[in-house]
Amino acid sequence: MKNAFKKIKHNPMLFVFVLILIFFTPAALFIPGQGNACSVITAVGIDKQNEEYEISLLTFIPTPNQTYLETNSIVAGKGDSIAAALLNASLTLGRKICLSHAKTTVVSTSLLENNISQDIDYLGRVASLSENTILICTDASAKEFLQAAQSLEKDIGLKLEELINYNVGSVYVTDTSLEAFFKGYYSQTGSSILGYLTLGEGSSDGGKSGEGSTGGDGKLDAEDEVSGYTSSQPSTSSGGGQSSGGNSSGGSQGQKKVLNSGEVVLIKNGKKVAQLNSEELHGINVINNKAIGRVITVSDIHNEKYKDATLTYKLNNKRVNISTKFENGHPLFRADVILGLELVEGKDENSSIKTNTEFSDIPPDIALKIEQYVKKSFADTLKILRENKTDVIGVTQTFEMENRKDFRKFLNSLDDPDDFLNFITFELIVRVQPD
Amino acid sequence: MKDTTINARQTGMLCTIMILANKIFLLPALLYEGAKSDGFFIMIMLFAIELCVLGVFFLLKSKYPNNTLNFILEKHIGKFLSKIIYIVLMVFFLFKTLLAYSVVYAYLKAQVYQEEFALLALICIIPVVNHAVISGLRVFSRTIELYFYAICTGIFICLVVGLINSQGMPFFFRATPSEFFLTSFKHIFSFGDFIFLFLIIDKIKIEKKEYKTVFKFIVLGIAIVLILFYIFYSIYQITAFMHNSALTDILSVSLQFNAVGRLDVIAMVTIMFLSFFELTIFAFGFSEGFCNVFHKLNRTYSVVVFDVIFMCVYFILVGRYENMLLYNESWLPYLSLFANYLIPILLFVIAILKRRRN
Repeated sequence: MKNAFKKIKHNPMLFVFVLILIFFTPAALFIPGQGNACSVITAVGIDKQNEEYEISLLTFIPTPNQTYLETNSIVAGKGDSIAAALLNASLTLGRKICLSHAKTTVVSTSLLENNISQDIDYLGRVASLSENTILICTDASAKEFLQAAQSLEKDIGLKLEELINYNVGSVYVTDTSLEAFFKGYYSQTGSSILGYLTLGEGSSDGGKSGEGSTGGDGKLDAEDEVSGYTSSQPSTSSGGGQSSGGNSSGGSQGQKKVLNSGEVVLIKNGKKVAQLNSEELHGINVINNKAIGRVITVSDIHNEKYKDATLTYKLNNKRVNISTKFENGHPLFRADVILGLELVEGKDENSSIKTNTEFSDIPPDIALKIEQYVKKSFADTLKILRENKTDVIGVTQTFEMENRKDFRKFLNSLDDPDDFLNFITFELIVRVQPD
Repeated sequence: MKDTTINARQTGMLCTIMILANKIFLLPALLYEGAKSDGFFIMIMLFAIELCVLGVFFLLKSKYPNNTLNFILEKHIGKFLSKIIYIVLMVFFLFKTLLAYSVVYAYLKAQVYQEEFALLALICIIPVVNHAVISGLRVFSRTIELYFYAICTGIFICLVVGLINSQGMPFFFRATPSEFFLTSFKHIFSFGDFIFLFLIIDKIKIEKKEYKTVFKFIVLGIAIVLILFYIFYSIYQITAFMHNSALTDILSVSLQFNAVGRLDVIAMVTIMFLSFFELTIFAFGFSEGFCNVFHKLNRTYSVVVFDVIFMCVYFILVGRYENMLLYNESWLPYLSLFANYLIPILLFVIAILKRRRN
């Protein structure tokens, strides 16, 4: 004992250690487990009605069970501010709200009628919420959306977070996180892009419908102005084109289900200004070198090789070189896009497609059609961006990097600098090659 | 007699820790707020000045290899002025400790302990720092040697993940000259760490040929800070001002890494170790100043006085880290002007005089 005291006397840190043990061990022993005190929030929904916020939380409550099923529930709270609504939701839950695992934030489109940055200010400040939380909007209320998402998981085992991650990585191919929203909001043009998921009525069969169709049925489409092609994402969960296929959830008639048609909304200064369908989104992604995997179907092919054939190509790789310059004081934005396509499907009446040899070749007439289609797709989307004065394709960024002085001079010369997209000449060079 | 000296390698590691101090959490966001991404160039400029100060240190060391700073100062400017300089340095290091503590406390409170934990933080940090200071420079330098590569590994992981997340070049040259220089001035208190080397000039055993070793570690520290700034500005671009902990935030931005889990725990652990060593160095700086002002009192007294003043100033004057940041940008730069630049200039003159006499 004496030796022990001597030891402590010579090592004051031991004394400190013992003191810490004495003070904190009993208290620590009686602290309840964090799982009992905190509720893990995986998604947050925000609605606003008559200046009152309603926060809905998709909550995971850790419960021991013999299956792999997670117990999720939706808890809501109302308040004058987001913080107050969260506190009320916490009261309902009887637990603390832990946002560290919240990967998705859903807002209703009604919220986007006004500047949303004011409404999500709290989320930007709260340190426990990760910056990479995906911000999406929905046509219904956020609460309804989360309820549908809950049944999505229950019915087909697909988590909302997985669906959103898929969309971000393969459909939008652009950052739609909370951070990206703020980046766009504080940028010179105040433009950003948000994912858009809708709710629809459920069918009696429930489960996975996966009938994502593209421009109708995915075949050659007379509706296209430039005839003979259509495109879609390679997905069972998201249909391209105008119609919404995708995931469905909800087992009973009348129950809302999440519809994923790869749509996005354009945001300008925190407000929604336009909604883009997946086809228009493809237009944005023409100059995005990460956006690959798209499928382009070319029909009505009549040449030496094929007779009335329909060929489907998959975009396997893409190289995009963007450059900007000023010609006589006029800004020119030039994108050189090289598409590496692979023929993945072929049909023709004369059964001329028999071997795999055609699969490594893209005849010039087909290449031309694809080029025209891609150019048209970009032009259509550019028209929307110009109309809404939104730059979500990085035009400002590129000019700022490459020709800052001239670009600023150019902006100052405009009556409405916000409308600068209308005064820039875009040149898109598309080259198609077999992959 | 107990050996209290440190070698070139330990000096180099001390320098790296000092370079990282107060620069890799909050400073990138603060500099962005004032000078946009040109905060990167502010860092280069201020590091260049720091290297000049280091040059002065090596020059003085070569002229006075075994003398204390107190001896050098008393010989040239007299006892009174020498004590004034030491008192200024005590205040300088006290506020450096307060700044480092405030920032790390705010960080841990936001990230780990949402509940009030001021007492817990003090109990966990202050005794350890006290013990390190009382044990002496050699002991805590050897402790730094033990943890140094673990800290570097933590930082490198953060940088590599950050590099994967980075999105091209930051937008440079957006700040006006006045913004640039005003922001530089406002944040010079986060620099001037090499003045610590002058305080321990007699305890550093270093040969001329070993200067290279010290320099290597300094280059490592500067490279880490500059790469971090570059990656941080590249990732966040115009929202950099919203992110208060650069080292953590470059980890948590990516969606792909989010799937792995909360990687920011790597940054948290690194920050905890790094902060402990930073606080120890600054507290030792205060203690060294105290021991030279009050010759008759030993280091234990200096530690007690440090604790009392630290707690009084922290709880009465500072309170919240926002207040500390306010001081950091208002009157502390003037103190830094004196400590970071005027004292090295004075010592440079002394070294030149000595060389002429020789």
